[in-house]
Amino acid sequence: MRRCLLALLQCLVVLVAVFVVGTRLPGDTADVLRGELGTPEQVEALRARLGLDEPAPARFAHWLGRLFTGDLGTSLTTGVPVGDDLGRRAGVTLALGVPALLLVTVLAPLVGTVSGLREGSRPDRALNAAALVLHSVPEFVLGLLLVASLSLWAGLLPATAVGMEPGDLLARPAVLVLPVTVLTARHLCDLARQVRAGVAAQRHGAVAEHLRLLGLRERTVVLRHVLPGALGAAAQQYARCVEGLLGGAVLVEALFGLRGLGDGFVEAVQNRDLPLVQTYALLFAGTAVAVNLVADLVAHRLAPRRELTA
Amino acid sequence: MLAAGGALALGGAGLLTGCGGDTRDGGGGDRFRAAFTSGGSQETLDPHVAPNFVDQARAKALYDTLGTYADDMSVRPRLARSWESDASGTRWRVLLREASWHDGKPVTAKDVLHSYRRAADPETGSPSQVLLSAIDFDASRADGARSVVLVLKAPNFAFPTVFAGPGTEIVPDGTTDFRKPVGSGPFTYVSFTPGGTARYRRWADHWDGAPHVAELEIVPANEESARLNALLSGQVHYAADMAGASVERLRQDGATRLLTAERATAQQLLLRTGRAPFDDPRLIRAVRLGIDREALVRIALAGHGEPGDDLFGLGLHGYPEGLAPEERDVDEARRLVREAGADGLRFTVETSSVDAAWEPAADLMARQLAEVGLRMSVNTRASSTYFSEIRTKGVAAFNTTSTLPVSDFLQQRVRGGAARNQTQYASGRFDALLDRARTTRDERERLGLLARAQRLARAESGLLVWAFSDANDAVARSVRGLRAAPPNSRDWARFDRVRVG
Amino acid sequence: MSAPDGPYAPPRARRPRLPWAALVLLGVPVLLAVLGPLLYGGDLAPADGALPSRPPGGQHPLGTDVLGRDVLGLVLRGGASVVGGAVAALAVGMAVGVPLGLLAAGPSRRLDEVVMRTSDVLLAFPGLLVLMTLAATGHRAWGWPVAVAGLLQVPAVARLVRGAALAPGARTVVEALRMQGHGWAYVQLRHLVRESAGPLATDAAGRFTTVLYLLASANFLGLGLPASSPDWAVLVERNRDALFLQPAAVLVPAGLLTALCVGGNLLVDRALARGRGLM
Repeated sequence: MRRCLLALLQCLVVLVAVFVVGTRLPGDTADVLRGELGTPEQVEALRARLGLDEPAPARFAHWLGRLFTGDLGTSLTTGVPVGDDLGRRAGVTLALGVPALLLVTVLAPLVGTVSGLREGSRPDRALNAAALVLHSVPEFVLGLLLVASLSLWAGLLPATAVGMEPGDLLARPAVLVLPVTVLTARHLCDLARQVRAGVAAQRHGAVAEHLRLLGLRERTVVLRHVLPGALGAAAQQYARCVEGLLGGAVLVEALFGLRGLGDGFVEAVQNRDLPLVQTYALLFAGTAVAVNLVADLVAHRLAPRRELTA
Repeated sequence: MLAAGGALALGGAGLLTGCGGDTRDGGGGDRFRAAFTSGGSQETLDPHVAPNFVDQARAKALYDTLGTYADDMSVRPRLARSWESDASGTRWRVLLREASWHDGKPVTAKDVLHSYRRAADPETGSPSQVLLSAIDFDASRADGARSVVLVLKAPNFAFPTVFAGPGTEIVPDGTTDFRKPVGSGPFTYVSFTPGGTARYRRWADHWDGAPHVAELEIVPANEESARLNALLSGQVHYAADMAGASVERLRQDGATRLLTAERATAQQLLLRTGRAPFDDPRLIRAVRLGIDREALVRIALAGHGEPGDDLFGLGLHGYPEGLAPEERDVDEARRLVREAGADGLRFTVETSSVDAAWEPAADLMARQLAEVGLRMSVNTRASSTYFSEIRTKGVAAFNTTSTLPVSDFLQQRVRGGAARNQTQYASGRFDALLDRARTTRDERERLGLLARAQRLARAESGLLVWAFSDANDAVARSVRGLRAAPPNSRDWARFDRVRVG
Repeated sequence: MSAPDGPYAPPRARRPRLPWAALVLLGVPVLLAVLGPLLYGGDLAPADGALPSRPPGGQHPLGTDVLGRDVLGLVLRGGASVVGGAVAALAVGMAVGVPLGLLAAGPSRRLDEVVMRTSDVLLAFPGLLVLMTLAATGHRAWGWPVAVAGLLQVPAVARLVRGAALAPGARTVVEALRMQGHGWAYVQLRHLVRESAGPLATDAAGRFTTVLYLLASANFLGLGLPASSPDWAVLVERNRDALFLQPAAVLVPAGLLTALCVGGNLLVDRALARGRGLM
């Protein structure tokens, strides 16, 4: 309960910080919308219509007040309810994030454990080397190379998701293959390496040896002690990964022309659409805080000693 | 609903290919998909708010304007059959052709009056608001169903340029809501979400003949590489706004075709004459002589353009003939800098990523100007608010302008006190020449006056056109019926004459 | 980077070998970054008559980039900001994170709570917004994105240090030292820092690649260094549309970035394995 209240408080602090940073951005939505061709008179008229002539703190307070009644307001840029925009983009992000998350959730512990239990063996080295290289290639380089080779040169997969609505993405999963691959690669390898290191460390740790001396079978030691310990240690990392995958992936979305949450956030900042920016920040912060909360609880469950002395 | 539509829309093998020749057309032969950048636009189908290329392309599909620009930006009739003025140039009678709205009602003079009144209101935000506000709406009236009399507040024989201006589309009388727009253009509205795809269907009863493709989709793709890759892999038929390396890539690709409108974009360096240090004409002259335009075109434009002679509108109707080209003269420039007592003067030029050529051009210019004794540093600003920032800040800035009528450019950007005059140039002589041109009925005489004004502006205004860059769009090989045309002109992004396959 | 030898002997101890692969992978980019600016002190401006995106040959052993500049020269000059940025960001993260972690691990539970929840807030804050704001307000100097990347590492570093300092073993020793009459400062600074040095070093090596990657991504998105910078990530971004025309301008800087990450990770792995007595 206390943690939940704290979480709310944290979100609020993030919102205030986002607001403060946001007001440092030059210009406002009226400037952006009228652009180069707008005359000062037109910009002023639009500014008044959007209510941007009110002082920023008052606008923030107004927005926050409505937020508590569950009203996200409308986007300054498009006049569309913020919820609609967010919903559409969340659809894209989920279409991208959920498959990636499934892949990571299944493969990372599997690869990590197999590799960790046979540390130093040939398969381990091969897996580890592959994970290492994939982990190290920057996302934008990997995306660039995959599109160039698999799409443009070989013609095997669609190069972009240009012009696709969330529903189209599900109807044509081929479009998702490359973005999901790029998105998954780094997280998967990161986590698999962490699990591997954890498994290897736990397996040779004092407790494992002790359990072995007590006459427990290796299988039991691994299942009851090594795995929970290793996975517990990786929980924080996993939380980062969930957060990263659900919070929108700016780079991947930009590379493939996907209009997900990451792209939406960047566009909202560019449009100086502060109500929208704040809503995105709230969504991201909420995800981060919730995921961390769960991760802490899980870590506590799997490896209670870590927090015992705290 | 959208999902189902999308799934149907993408049926067929188009998306998965990229290897076969004739399958690279993004779906069935009757659907045309065009990718534009959409970032920062208001994303509404209100044609009077059309700041970006994508807005104009969408407006062109749904609506018509009274006139339209030819490639040289002279005005041709479109929804108007003809127009003529009285002897003073203040009363203009416009005759409409027979046309109807997508709901079957006829297009009338009342619609024209409503549209122009709406676009002339600063609240609306039309790019042509300043030009339209020259109309006296109390005195203007409909004269029968298809004849309208527009009365101007002051005589202007160049007034018809506004008939083709962006943001002057004719909408049905009384329309203020554009969520389900009804137009008179070649395509009818199917669906649109802000920031998403706009879908249209062929309108068989268009006065100019039905479009050849059954459906049109205008899809957003802000990254140039995403548009390029979408075109190369056959996901779209048309990719707007290609530059630099993408152009080279497309030249090598057999399955696509480049539509290059040469010299369509005027690349400008704005020096603020209203502020120190550029209130000294010698320094403006020194910058003009000090920059190496050949090198700028070769590097910053990757060769896709040609050096400019500090005047807007090369190749357009009204550009003065026989200008002496601007040649680099380091010695003379250095002499002018010394004479102005400005040796080693530091100033900052504002730039941003709005145009990919600006930042490299700024770096090059900094080096070139160092040779004449001016130390220019570069300040990169955020692209979305760049134009509002440079309106008030700084002494030098980059800008680009697409093709538009020369007289409009001079009126709106060079005239003293004009809303878009960013160099703060104010010259009684220049303004007087423009005024005389406006009230001169004979076109040759009018162009002569404009030419004199332009020579003056070239020397004094601080608006240096250092190059004209090409505007490139690209289409799949299977697309016919599109030709290279400068932005804002009739044939640019005109998809009703397109055929696929 | 030495880790304490555990009392439990490794099952399959091996003769230590020099990690050649890791050293080469890490060494080449780092050497280029350090020595490059010395080797190539010349002007990065395009030579007279230079053309953009020319393949290798003639005056330009690696060809030219989209701005007609010599790719070899750019690559030699572009490593300094990459390696230097990552090191500096790491230093920022450590400089702030370690004291915070120790503070959290201190006797006051309330302080612990405050520090940890505050660092959670940092974790939940969209760093992208800060980068975009900095870029939009003209703070494009190298130090700004580096500082942001560094601060983003603070929560993780603080957590790690706190964890190490609160580990059961560490706790007992602290109590013992207290009993012996050692002051707070001695306990905190001498003992706990030494205690957490091992895990911290391993973490730092891993974090190096994270930071490197973060900065490279920011630069790739145009939120960091100016577009004319020779930074490897900026080069990849600027030249990516020319991948087919002039692959070297993309692949060489991208390869160096990747080598740096792979090399760094290999060394971390090795250190971890050594910690358990493997290899």
